[in-house]
Amino acid sequence: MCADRLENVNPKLFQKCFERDITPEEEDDNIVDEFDSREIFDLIRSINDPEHPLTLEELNVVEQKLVEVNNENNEVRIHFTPTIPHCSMATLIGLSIRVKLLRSLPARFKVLVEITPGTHQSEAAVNKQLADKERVAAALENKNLIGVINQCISV
Amino acid sequence: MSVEEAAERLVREIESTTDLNSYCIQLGDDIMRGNLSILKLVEWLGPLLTNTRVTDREKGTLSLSYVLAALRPDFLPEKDLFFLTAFYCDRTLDHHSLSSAILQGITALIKMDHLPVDSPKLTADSPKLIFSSIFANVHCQTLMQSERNALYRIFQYFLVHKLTAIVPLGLDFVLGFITAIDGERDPNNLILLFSILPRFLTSFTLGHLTDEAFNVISCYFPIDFNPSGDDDKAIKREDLALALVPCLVAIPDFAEFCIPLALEKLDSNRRIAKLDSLHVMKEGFKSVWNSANVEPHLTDIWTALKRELIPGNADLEVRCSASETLSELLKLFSRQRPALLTSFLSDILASTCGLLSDTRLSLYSPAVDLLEVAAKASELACKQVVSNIIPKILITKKGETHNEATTINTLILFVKASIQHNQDFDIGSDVWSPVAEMIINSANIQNPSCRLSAYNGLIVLAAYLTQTQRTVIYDGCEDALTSDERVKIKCIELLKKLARIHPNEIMEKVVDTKLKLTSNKDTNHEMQDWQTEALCGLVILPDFVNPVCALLLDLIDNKPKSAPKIISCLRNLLTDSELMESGDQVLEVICRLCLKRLVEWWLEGFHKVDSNKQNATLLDIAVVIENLVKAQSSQLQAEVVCPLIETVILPRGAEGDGSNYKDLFKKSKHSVIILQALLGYVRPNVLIKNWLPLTTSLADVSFSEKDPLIRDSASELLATLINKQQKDEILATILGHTAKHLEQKLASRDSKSKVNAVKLLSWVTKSLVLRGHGLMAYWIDKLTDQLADCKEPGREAADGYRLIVEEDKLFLIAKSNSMLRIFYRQRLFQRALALASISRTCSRACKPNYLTALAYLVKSVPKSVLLPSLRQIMIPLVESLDEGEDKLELTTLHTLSGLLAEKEPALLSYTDTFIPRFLKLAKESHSMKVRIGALECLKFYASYPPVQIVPYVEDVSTKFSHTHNP
Repeated sequence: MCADRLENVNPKLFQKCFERDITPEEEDDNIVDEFDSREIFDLIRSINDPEHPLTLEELNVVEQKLVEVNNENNEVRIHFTPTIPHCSMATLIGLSIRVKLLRSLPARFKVLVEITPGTHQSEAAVNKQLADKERVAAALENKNLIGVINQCISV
Repeated sequence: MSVEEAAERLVREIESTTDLNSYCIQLGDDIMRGNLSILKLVEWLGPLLTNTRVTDREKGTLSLSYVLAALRPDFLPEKDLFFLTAFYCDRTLDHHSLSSAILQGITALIKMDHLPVDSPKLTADSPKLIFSSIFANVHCQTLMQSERNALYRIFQYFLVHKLTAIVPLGLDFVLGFITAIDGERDPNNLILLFSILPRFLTSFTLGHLTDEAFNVISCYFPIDFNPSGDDDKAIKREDLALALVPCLVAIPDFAEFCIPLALEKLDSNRRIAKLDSLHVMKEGFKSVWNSANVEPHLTDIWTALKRELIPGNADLEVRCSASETLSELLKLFSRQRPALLTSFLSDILASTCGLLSDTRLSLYSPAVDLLEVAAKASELACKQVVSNIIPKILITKKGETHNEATTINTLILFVKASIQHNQDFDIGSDVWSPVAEMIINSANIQNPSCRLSAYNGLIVLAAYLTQTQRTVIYDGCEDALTSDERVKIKCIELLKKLARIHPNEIMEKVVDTKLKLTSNKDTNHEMQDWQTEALCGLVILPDFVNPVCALLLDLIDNKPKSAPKIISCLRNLLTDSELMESGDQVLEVICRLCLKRLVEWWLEGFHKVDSNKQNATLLDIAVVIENLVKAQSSQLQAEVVCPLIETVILPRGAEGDGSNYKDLFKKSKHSVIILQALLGYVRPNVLIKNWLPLTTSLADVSFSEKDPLIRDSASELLATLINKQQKDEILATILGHTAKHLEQKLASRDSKSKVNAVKLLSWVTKSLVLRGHGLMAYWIDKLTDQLADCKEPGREAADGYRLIVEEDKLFLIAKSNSMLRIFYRQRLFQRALALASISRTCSRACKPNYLTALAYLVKSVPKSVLLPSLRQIMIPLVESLDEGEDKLELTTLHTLSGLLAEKEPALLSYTDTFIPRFLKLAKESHSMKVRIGALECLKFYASYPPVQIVPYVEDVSTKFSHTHNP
């Protein structure tokens, strides 16, 4: 992609968090451990930004503190922060997060992906799109779109 | 025989022979022996050479060419060569079918020593004649590949061997040559041409043909070529691309065409076009083009390079290549046009300095990388870059505490670049003094990442720091040593570096005062952990080893609370591979100073240590002693280690002749561990006194001792000693003794003592297998027999196989000075193949034992040994996956994943067997590691050719569907 066509030429980078240490408890088959925000964050932190060869974590689009997990109600709520308020990629980023989680989490979870309040100019519209099951399903049947999303979430 | 008869016979022979070349070689021999003259031969060949039939003429010319090729180069005189050349040149006018024969003839002629070149006698010039007729009459593009090759070889011969003969031909040759080679497409011919083109281009003045010559070469750039087939020896794209570059940058005159071409191709999206363009420019800047060639294109070059460097091409190779190109360009200007360098660098600085305003911006790091390349290019460039950006970076830093670490790291890069160019790096200069000040200040603030960067910077600057600056560091080091672990390590490294340069100063200002070297001797002051660590860090320096070692030993003796920490620090120091490789002399000093006192303390003072720290300390001191012994020469080991046993350890047992180990072990069980530490790494040629009583007592201990730590230690030491014993009689005695006791224990009903016996059996077997001893077969069979036990001892025997093939034990590996025969695992594997057949006939209960033993063996041998026997072991391998034992499944999966990762074709025929089993394990195994292993194996299967695995795709995706479908 050419530099002059980028929406945000020089975005700010943030430090990546350390890899999680694998504790003996986690390798123990007899201990049941619930999903926590770090586990969900680990799933989405390495999603690539559609514009730059950088991950969402490096651009601070996703943060661990903005991931909420409610194991009892089977709910995962994620807020993401676009790098600029007029970012046109916001819906695509939101979709990528949703698809990644749909593919990785057990079916019992309801996943909600929303823009961090006050960080995007068409926040309500994007949130509405991302929350609409039908529209998400329709979007995923679009070959071009799912191609781009697959590229974003490929490791 | 008349002339006619002879000629007729010759023609008949030539027409009838099936091997014309050998016949002509014979004729050539006749000519060289004087039985025939070349003139006669030509005369006899007359009917063929002048025949109206093209095929006959071709045969005649070919015969003559073969004969000429068979002659010695110095045989024909100048005159004959002149006429022959004239003849061949005339023949170029003939039918095109003769081209091959004519080119072969000319090839033979030009190699003759007396070929007339500007000859005064004959007023003849053969090269001129040859090339004028070739250029006029031979149309290279219409020739076959082999004929074109022959023609290019004629050019090659002259260019390489007789250049002076063709240079006078000047532009005529240039025109003829570039017309001839134009449009060549065969890769073999192109490689040949690319190899001679640089010589051609540098030897001739191209004049008005420069443009044409460049076009003939540049049409290949960038090379786009896909070799057909999998032939490894076939020419590859890279070969052609590498060969083409020297042609494009052969002469400075090409620069005006080459630079725009390279820039145009650099603009493309194709990776190879970018890489090739950058390579051409790099080579051009390096040695051929001058600044005048480059100057007109400078703006374009910078724009193109900048695009690859900021924000940077996603491909690392392209980015690196662009950096190297920029570096070469700057070096060129530094050499030839410093003024131009200054203005070019100003452009670079103007477009990058703005990006340094915030370290968190994504373009910060590419900009720093680019400036670092510029600074490293030359001293002049470095000065300009540094003087411009350092103040800017320092200003940026002010008011921004969160990214100070990144700023310091950036500054270090430029410090390093400056030191690289200038050995007299002046830390007091206007540019560097604020940098040094900032780094020193940062070393004293609390943020650990910032501090870490600052200490990294100080390590780089260590040799240049002034005394005042050093004093500030010494004052702050106590704080740094007590802070974050990583900072502490860097701080110790800095102190070590400074101690090499200013030993007295460090001794006085750090060791004596901060680390309390002297005050510790007489006060009750307890050492802090950080002081101990810093001291141990300094102990490897020759100036410090004596005083520091003495202090540490005193502390171990007198301060039981400090002892565990000191010993653990010494352990860390001695397991550092860098020291073990470089510090032989220091290690020798430490060994002589410490070994005896450490052993004495272990025997006398060890009980004073806190009981909860005893086990860890025991392990640490064992490792310290082992490492000290391991690194020493045989002589030193004999001098220091062996007397220690006699004078320090043995007297602690009952009185006697010094051989009474039995009493010693009874009295002090721990002495087994000390002995293991001392003797485990002794070299085989060091004589150990009272070897037999020692080993016999050890065998007894390993049979009867209840403490597992002592028992295992005794078994290990016994195995090590057996492995290193070089005298067969003594070995036979101890083996006999052990075997006898083993029989008794194995026959007993007590399961525990049976297990202990099997353990010892495994160890002894290992020591014999490793050295490839003749008796190993007996011991292996004995171990195999134990597998038939379906209870605990059987499982222990299976584990014994793991023990034999694994290298995770400290003893009995190459580094412990053991005797190792190469391929010992392979030998064992061949013997143990029998396990595969027994596993099919044995009882159900003991089957897992056989399978486990086999799985360990299979895991340990390399692929090349395993593959030929794969069929034999396949059934047990598959059965291992069905047994439901985690350890067994894991070991087998590990072996299989190793083979699958390398896409081993042998496993393709077992796809149907393995994939369902992997699926089952991945879904149903209760062990997470097994599930991970099975999934990994499935993942590797996915990279096999799609045709082979397509039938399983649906099966696999259905089985895992619940994770994919929400």
